[in-house]
Amino acid sequence: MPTKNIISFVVIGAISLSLGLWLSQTVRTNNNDTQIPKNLDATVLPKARPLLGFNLIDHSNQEFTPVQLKGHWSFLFFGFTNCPDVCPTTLKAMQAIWKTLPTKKGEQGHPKLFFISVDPDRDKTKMLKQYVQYFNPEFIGVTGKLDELDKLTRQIGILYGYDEKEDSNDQEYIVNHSAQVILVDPKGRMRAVISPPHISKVMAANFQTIRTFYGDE
Amino acid sequence: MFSVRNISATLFICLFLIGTANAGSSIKVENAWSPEAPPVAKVMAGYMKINNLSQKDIKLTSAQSALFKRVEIHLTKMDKGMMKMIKQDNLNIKAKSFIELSPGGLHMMLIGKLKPVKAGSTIPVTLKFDSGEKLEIKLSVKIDEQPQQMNHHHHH
Repeated sequence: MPTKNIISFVVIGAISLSLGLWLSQTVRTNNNDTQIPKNLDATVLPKARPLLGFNLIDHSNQEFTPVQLKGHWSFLFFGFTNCPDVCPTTLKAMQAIWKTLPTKKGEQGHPKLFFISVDPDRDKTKMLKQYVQYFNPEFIGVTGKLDELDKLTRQIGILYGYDEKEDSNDQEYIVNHSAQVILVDPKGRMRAVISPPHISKVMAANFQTIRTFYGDE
Repeated sequence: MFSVRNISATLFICLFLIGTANAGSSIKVENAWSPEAPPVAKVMAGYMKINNLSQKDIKLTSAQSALFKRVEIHLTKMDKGMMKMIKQDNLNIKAKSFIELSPGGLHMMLIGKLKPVKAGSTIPVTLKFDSGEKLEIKLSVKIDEQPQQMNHHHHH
């Protein structure tokens, strides 16, 4: 290889490298993706985690897969309809948040709420729809097969289990479950975890801060 | 010889004493309510403050309601990352103290709704105590519009 070629190779290499570094730096400063907004009562993930590979159904018997989490912010809450205390209290808090949203359904930045039942034996889609829409007609109930539910809950770190459940005909058992609300960004990635107690004012403010920080894209 | 007046006065005092020794005298329930639930929900919750005005500890041993198959006392508790509902066999209320049932903590779980229950109505509940006392209370069913804080239960 002639010396001239080696020199041009090194020069081009050096230029590409600097350009690459400069670009990545610029992209980083223009994109808050790896930074975290301050003063939040929520745990924001330093690196948003894509949610992949689950196949559930919504309350209208439509597919609920990673695709349904794209294009808008989403709140996910896991529970069951035979839950007297934690689930209705949390859904009431979500209802209150919805009343203070600066956006309307269909507008950019307007979130969706998915109430995901981890009790598919008792929570059929028709009743799940009536249950969630009592709190807000925009809310969407989701459920599915246990192994598909597990594919989603394991990625998020949500736990659930049944107490005193005898068989699939048993109608009176208790479901223990994590009560965190998960915020998913418009790219369908887990962005933040909000732990109970769920206070609607705090949650609503945190959501707007996170939304403004990362944008609605 | 007793006059009629004396007899009635004695009777009155006796009745008064029986009255004070009977149901409700040592226990006072305040702010008994239940958040309205979606009509399809089969369970509801009951919240209240139970005051023990007596000099002795009292245990709430059971509760029942004509509108539900059964009533249980539960404690919502965070355990290993999950919210668990732990059934309480009874609820001890210390002498001259009170216990509060509130969202996210102790609550009555009303199981197996038998009739529709709407905001504005009441749910009758009978509370039974280890002292043998029975107390009839009514939970006011409310649409709780206020953003709620999930309180933790207090033992005072």
